[in-house]
Amino acid sequence: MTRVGGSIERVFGHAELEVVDYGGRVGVRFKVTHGARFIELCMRGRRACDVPYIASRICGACSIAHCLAAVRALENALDVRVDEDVEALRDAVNAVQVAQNHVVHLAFLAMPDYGGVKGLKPSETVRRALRINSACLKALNILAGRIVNPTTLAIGGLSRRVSRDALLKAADTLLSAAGDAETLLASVAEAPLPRVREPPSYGVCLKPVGEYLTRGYEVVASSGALGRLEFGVRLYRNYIREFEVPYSNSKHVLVNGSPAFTGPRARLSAYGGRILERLGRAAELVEGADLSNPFTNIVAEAAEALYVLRYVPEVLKEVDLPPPKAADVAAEGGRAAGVAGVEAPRGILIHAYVLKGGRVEHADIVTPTEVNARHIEACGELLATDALGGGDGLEELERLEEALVRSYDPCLPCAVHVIRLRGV
Amino acid sequence: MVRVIIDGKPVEVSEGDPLIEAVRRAGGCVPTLCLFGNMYREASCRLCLVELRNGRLVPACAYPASDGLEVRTETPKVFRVRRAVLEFVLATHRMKCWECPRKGGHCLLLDLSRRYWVDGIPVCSSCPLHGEDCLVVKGVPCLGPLTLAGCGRPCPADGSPCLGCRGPTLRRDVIEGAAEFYVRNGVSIDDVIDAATLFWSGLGEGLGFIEGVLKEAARRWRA
Repeated sequence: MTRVGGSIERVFGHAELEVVDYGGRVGVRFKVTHGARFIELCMRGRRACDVPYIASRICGACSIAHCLAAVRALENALDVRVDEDVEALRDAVNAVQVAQNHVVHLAFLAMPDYGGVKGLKPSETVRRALRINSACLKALNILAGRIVNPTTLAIGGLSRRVSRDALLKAADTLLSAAGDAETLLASVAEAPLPRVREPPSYGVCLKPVGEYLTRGYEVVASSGALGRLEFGVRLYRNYIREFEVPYSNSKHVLVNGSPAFTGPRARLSAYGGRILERLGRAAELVEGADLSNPFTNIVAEAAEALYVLRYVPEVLKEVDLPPPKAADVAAEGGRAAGVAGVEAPRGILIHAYVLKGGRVEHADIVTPTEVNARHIEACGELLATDALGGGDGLEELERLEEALVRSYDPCLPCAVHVIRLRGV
Repeated sequence: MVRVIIDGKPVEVSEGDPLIEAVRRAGGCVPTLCLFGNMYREASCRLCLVELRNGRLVPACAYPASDGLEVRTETPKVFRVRRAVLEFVLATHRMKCWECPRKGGHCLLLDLSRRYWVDGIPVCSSCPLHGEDCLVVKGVPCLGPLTLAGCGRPCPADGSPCLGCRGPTLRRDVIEGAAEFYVRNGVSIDDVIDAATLFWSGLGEGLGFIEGVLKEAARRWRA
């Protein structure tokens, strides 16, 4: 029995990967060692208006996605209506953070697997990504106030108005980085990505209300082998099942009993056709990518980043924002339940709350990295089986396995938001 | 004319001119609170103390320049003394920043507190929301009146209530004033304490103390 693996580098948070060859059969364990955080328990008993502040702090990278998911789920529970243009702006803010997360992941975490890092001088890829990152952060400052733990996303809409000039400034800032994003996509598409088969599994994402990466109220889970599922987000528990594993602080998820993946590759596989026009010359690079290979998740990331930088400015130029209006969220009322899904950078994110008397009685959060956990293991097993059969050395296998994990851009702090305690 | 040396830089002033004139000519600055042109030059606040070569501290607004005098305007001793002076001033200062016309960026005491590491002044002192725009006036349990200033108040500036990031002030008079402010504007003290428990704890941050003072003051104010 041979065993490889260890601490995984270049991922957000702490995890270990263990590949064990039982002499014929291979087992892979994705052991998330990041400490459990009990977020869902911290939210119990708190007033509804406090919950988004806790949710933002689940993760520094996708703070906006968590805050937005919490806000929308609570609006759903409290039956609060939000202006269409405000929702369009909130979607735009989320999309910009998605793009920003993607370029940082590509340049600093994923691409070093394929380009080789020589010396201390930053490569062109890194410089490019930093420019795009700056542009996104500048735009987010204008649109969302503070970027980490945003100050303007509130139940009912936005807490402050963004002026016409500010919207145009944000739009121009994003557009200025589009050229860099196109070059980045070209270099990612050319990267010598390994191949791995995937088991029969569902690609899970929200059905966008708009073109792409917008809000959605239905979940789509599609698979070549298993068919297609479509269900309202409110019914997520009937299809998306979380369960604990003894070796990991992150829960695992099965969708209708099968492994599932979520994120850019899932979104692009389902709705990529809608964005090709905006990718311009780069569209053929995306069309040429074989999205059935899990490693191409990073190509999908680059494509999404380019799309956002071209599409969001159009949205910003057209929105007409009403004056800010915070909903009157009193700590009273009977029992109410609300669910919302948001496309976070790494995939579908679901927040669900049961309120009683205006306070949280029960909270449930499903993060994209949880959804991907079992898929990582299953693909890792296939990768190992193929490699060991083909006679690759164990060192090479270790390198490939880690590159596989990185291509999902796992966010471990999000993944460990709770463990079920007995009796709780 | 005499020659004095301010922080190593030689400047010329008329003999007998206060040192603060020499500091200005050298391009430096010394904080003052009680100096008011020619109308008030009594050296009462002691904030402008500067250090002479022999280690003696003298008030720059009044001490006369003489030839060859060497002066240092920022030394560790000066820093400690100025901080102590500021703490004394603030100890008797009625910190009701939420009603003060100097809030939102015009408060000298806040600027000095930042510079000399003195705590105690609440977020309201730098908050731009005045009158009707103030979140507490709108009935929101914003923690601004209770939280230490210094974060740059991004939350109230964006219309979101202060969450207490820098911790609570432990000055009884400020907390009591805050209780009055909340009650007067119809904000429930229970809601304020609810908001306070989000990021403040009973261990080391005095949440129990604040809770006690708030409730007691609110009761008195309501009665």
